[in-house]
Amino acid sequence: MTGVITPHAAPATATRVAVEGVLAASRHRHRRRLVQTTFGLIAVLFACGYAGVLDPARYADAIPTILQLLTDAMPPDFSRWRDWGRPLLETLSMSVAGTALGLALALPLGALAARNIAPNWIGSPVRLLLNTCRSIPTLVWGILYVAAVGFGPLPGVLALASHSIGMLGKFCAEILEHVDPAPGDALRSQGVSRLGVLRFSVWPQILPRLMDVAVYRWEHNLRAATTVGVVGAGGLGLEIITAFHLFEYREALALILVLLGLVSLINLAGAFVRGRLINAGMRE
Amino acid sequence: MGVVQGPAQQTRPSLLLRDIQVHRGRQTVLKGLSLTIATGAITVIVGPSGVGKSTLMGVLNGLIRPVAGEVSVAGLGPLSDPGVLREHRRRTATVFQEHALIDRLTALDNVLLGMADRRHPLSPLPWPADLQRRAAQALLEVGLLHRVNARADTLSGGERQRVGIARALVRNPSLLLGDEPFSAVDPALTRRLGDEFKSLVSGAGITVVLVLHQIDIARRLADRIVGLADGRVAFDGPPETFDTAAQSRVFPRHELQHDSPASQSTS
Repeated sequence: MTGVITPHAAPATATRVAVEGVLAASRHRHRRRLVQTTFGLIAVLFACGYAGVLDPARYADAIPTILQLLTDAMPPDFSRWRDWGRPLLETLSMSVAGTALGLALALPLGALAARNIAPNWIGSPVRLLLNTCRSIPTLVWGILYVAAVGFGPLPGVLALASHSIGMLGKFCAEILEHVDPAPGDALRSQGVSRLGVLRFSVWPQILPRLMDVAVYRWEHNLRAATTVGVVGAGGLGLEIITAFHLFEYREALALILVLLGLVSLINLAGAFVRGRLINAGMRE
Repeated sequence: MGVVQGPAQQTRPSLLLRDIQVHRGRQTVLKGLSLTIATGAITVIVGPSGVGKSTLMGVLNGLIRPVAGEVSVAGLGPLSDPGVLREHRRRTATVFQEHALIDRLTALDNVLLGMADRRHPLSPLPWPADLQRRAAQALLEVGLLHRVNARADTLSGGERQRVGIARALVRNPSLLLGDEPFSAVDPALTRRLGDEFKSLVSGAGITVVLVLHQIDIARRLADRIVGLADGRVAFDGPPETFDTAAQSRVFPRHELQHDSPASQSTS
């Protein structure tokens, strides 16, 4: 081999030049980082100014108003709690059904979007579709579906599913791209069919991660289910917005506290399930 | 067994390879390799790293399709025929170099995968009890029964390798392929598993092809040694004749410093 420098043989000058080169490159990197940070800060400041964040006059009434609202909402009024069972159940079932529907559709779409499964001429449009699903907010999907199928939890389910497909499909594709092909090859070498490779090698590899993102998405959808309620998709969200419209701030606060409790509960359950999926052994 | 065997032509062939060529990317790995694998014997493949030993194993189990040449299975026909390939794979088991286990599954579930062709992919039922018993038995044979429910990613390198061996043995194959099956196993266990392979050959009459880098183990196990160099067969004969001269033909000089087969050649 030529060009290999052994430490003993290298002349002192060559070593010095090499070290100087390293220092120069480091200085260059530092300068570039400084420029990038400056530009970044300017961009953030401009955005804040444009959005009115830096206008002190706008804040003059803010704190008293918020305090007034809080006082009006105290103490929270739980007296109508018997009527909340249905909307609570509605929100919960919306989140479950929306996540499940989204996942069911995201699986095949994710497989088509995975770069190691489908050719690019299929993958690219599918990825575009998933991006579109993701970039349309759940609220907009909600308005669309309320118009299409009427009020109630059903448009909420469809809205949650539509937005979830985008995110879950993207994750499905990534999970499939990271499947280790070696166990599948081992199965093929002993004569197992394509379907068998999917079932015995791909499926056990993707299942825990799939459940992980599904549970995570379910937590997200529970919060989102409240927001779509606002546009007429029923559930707890509708109750909250109605309470606000009737100036029943004390009841609104109580409802928000109930929602907070529910979300925390689901988050705890989700963290428990995910922890088990990641750490515990999978037994069939 | 144990008697010096005659030339390969006198033994019953199991697999015939003729002028096999395999490309890996732009590189030609196997350059017209011809080889006959004898039935009921242990053939050990040796050669410097990168010479195409693993590629050859892939050709033997049908995972790699040669661009030229033909592999034919005795009594069945050419491997390019889908029906022959299916039947060949049914009776073949491979121990893979990188173990090819599913990390998230237990040792037992990984061994059960060796019998995946006996369970319908869409069956919602658990693995049948007799298959589970056989898988546990296979783990016992490689000394891993105490780790039966441990996830594969919690096992050590040697333990993973033994799971890979159990997954191959559980198939009761008539052709057993092993790509460096003992590379991470300690010497005592290597000896025991080597003896197990030998007794499978003498008892059940199965055919074994192993890629090995430890020349001493190769000489002890092999009925026949095949040395690869430059994508072709450079040596083919009983282990007794694999002397220093033969070894230097297979391992070019610069390889000797790393693999030191010459130092172990004195017998």
